[in-house]
Amino acid sequence: MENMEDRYKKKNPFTVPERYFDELPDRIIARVQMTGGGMKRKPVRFLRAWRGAVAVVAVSLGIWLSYMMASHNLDRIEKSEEEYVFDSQFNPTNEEIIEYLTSELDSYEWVIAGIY
Amino acid sequence: MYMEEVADEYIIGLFHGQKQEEAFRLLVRKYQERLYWHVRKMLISHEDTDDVLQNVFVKIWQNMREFRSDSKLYTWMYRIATNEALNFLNEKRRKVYGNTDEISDFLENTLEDEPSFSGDDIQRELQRAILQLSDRQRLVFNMKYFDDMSYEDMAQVLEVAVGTLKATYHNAVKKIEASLKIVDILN
Repeated sequence: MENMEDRYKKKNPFTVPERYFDELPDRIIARVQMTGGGMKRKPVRFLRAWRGAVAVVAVSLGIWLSYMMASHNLDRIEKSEEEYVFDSQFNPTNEEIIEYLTSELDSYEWVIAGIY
Repeated sequence: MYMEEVADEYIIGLFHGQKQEEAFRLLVRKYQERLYWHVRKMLISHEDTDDVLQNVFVKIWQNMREFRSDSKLYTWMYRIATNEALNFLNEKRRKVYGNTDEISDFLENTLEDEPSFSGDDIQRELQRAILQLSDRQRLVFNMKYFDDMSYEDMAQVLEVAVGTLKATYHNAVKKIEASLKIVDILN
């Protein structure tokens, strides 16, 4: 083994394309999502291009939802929410909407501050 | 934070604390190179390795919840990578050679055609000698010689006794030395 160590020096003779490891994590995440691996696509992701308008709508919707829930009109809320579909394939539950709005209320302050 | 400094416990904690994607990204960045080179030494081809490695991380993601902290995170991932690499070779055997043991020809051809092999003639002759080994011998040899992995860690990855691993490594080295002597004589 000593002869092997001296001669071959445990060198790695293989290379990888430039920036391969920089880009690999994003490719892996994409593959996980493609395989339906259960990695959630956050509802906010597709809204990134509409931050300002969405923040205003989100706050308004949150206020409206709170009012409607307080009035015990849950059936009407569920039906009404079907109309508030930002994406034809985006169909959140009540809990997801409320969770999203709660997080977006904080994000709204960043939007107002101009920090994206 | 430098990836090597991110503790496995932190990553696992993030994962179970409902920050799965963030945890997974940290995990990928921390271990992608080690797992890549482990698979690459088995498959030789960068393209095949790239494909298998992505499958490895998909499996890691899918099974992360079942990971038990009584084993090391790295040996667990290493085991997944090993199995995926072996499955790839077995599938290649089945498709190309119809279930015979002859995979070394395929791998030698891959080595000859591989554009990202930058070694000199000496490195090439060592790689050729390694390719004459069985899958298990190659695995053990690569993990011990190139990765400096302890027999105890290898035993966890391969689920084989330490004594068996030592014998396998010893036999692998003997075979490689014999193969290289022949090359020396011929040259």
